[in-house]
Amino acid sequence: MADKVLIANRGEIACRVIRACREMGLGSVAIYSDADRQAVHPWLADEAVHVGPAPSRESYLRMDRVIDAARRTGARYVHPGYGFLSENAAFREACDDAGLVFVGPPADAMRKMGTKTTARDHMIAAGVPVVPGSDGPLASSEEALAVAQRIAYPVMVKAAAGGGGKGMRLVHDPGTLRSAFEGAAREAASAFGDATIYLEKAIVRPRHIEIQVLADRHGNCIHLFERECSVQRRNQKIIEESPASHLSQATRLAMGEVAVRAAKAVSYESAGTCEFLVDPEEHFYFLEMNTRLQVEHLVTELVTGLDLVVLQLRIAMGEPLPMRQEEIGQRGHAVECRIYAEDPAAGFLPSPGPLHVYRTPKGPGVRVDDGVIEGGRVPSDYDPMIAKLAVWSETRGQAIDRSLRALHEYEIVGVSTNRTHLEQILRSEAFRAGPYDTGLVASLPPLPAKAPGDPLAMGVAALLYARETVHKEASRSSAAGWKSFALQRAVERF
Amino acid sequence: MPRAVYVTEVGVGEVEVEILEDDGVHARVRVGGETFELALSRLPDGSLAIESGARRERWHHYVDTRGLVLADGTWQRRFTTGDPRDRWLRRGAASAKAGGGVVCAAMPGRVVRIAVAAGDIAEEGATLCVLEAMKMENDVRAPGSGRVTVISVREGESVEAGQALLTLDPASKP
Repeated sequence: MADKVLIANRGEIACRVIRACREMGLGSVAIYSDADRQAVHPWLADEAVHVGPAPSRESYLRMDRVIDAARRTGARYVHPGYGFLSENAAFREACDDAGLVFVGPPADAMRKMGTKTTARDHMIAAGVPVVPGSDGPLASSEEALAVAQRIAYPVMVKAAAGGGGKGMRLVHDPGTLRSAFEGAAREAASAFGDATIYLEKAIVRPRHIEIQVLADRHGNCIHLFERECSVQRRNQKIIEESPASHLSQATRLAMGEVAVRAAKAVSYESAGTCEFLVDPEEHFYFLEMNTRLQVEHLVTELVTGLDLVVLQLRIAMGEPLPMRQEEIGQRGHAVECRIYAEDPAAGFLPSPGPLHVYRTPKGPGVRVDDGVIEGGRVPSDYDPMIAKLAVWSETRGQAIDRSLRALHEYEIVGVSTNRTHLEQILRSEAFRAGPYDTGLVASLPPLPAKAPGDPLAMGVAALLYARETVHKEASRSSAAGWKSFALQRAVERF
Repeated sequence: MPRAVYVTEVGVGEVEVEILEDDGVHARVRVGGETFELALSRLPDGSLAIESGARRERWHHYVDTRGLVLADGTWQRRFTTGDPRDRWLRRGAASAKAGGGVVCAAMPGRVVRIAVAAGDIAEEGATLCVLEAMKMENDVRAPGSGRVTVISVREGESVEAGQALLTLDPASKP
């Protein structure tokens, strides 16, 4: 019987991993919460196990239930996706103890890289350039004030266990440091269960460029070049691309070499990503290592032609990397847009709800990784990301045009999405010309709060209403038959 | 036979639409004094095909408890009607009217923190409470200045979109 992989995740990334399993002839086991009973991933997988109520703390984050699900279904591998338990060293150890193969790095590497302060120490020891900062957790806001004085403002207040922009604050002067410190600590405590805070010098006009690495357990480690993730809103990535918009080949290769050194310093295994801040002079500083598959791994797959999930699984099976560094190249250009259920016209308020219409773009060079279907819902219990739209084309300009074309075809009705915001960014001169930095999104003018008045829309609304009430009255008074049945069916769709 | 329908676009206002002719596809309507012809039919996927003058549109629509929504890729417009026989749309209109000083949740989520107490004076823009949805904290701010008269939720409580959070009395400004 084929080996099975339990996917300890939900939504689009669960679907992504299930697809890789099927292509490799591996069985797949999904897990789901109450909120995801009718979601896509439990039905795309060969088997599915219910692991608890909607809140992730009681379902997707319950290590005992996830491991029990793997045991009961006879799964041999556990793929954690990203988020949830993916960077939890205790979970990796629990998998080891249960005789399950965790698809990811060893617990020791996760611990060394998992906490930003510890990672920093290891990177300094390995000769990897880092941003000046507090060199460890801060006990109090008083200590934070002293460190900020030494490294000079502006400074970044960061949660040691943070990620995705949560528990992070930019501070320009001593007056606001205390409230930023306390706010970040509170957010970190609720999001990660760890209120540890540290401080770093803020790099002015930084670009966020990361290097994908792959390492096997035989000591081979390579990089798959860079992804630029400088299009961020409140430190949350929105659009990623590979290659970076402007980066000298010398810097690109130097960053790749440093990322491999960083991975080797912690005896890394599987896919991982070293994030760097790059200043306008192309000085780069190690920020952190994500010890898991990244959301934006698609752009790397599109330009290298490799399948990162398949490679993760092969590495977990003990195989050596099937290629050498010299065999990896970048071809063409890839751009990924993250489609979020949020309302750009209402301050980017999350917009969970029903997907009355959900139709994805098609055509050349378009890839959509999603985990939802028309008629389904975007639950309020999880991340607001609905899908990732990734496109490939020969040049960067063509890839941007293709992204806009595909966004135009994307139809999502029921929840609000950030589509207009994505289009605004892709059309902006700053993005098209490049290089751009993490300040790009904030520099764009606010989107119009609402569509201008349209008499045609008013007329259509009135006609729909009038026709519906007329049909209702007509069908009530007419005899039953095919004609009225058909009429009734048409009316039900209104 | 011409027929008048009163349509309210939420956030815009009410307009009288007179339907002068309608054969089920082609219609002639008067919207706020402007008369035009349009063809409105349904495509096989349920979307609306609209042609009027030089305009050619494909829109989506759905009805929920708060009224009718028309949408294309970039915008959504929400409508109610003034027709008392319309149970969906009437409900939508009623809750919009009750809006006065009641501050409602704009989305489903959990109340993380309540920043005011009954009796407090809140200035316009002041944080009233913090809602967490999809792992993000969002401040709920006072739409205008006023005295907090009722707090309808507790910290830790889960709320639905549109649920009343608290009530501000704008009359008792400082």
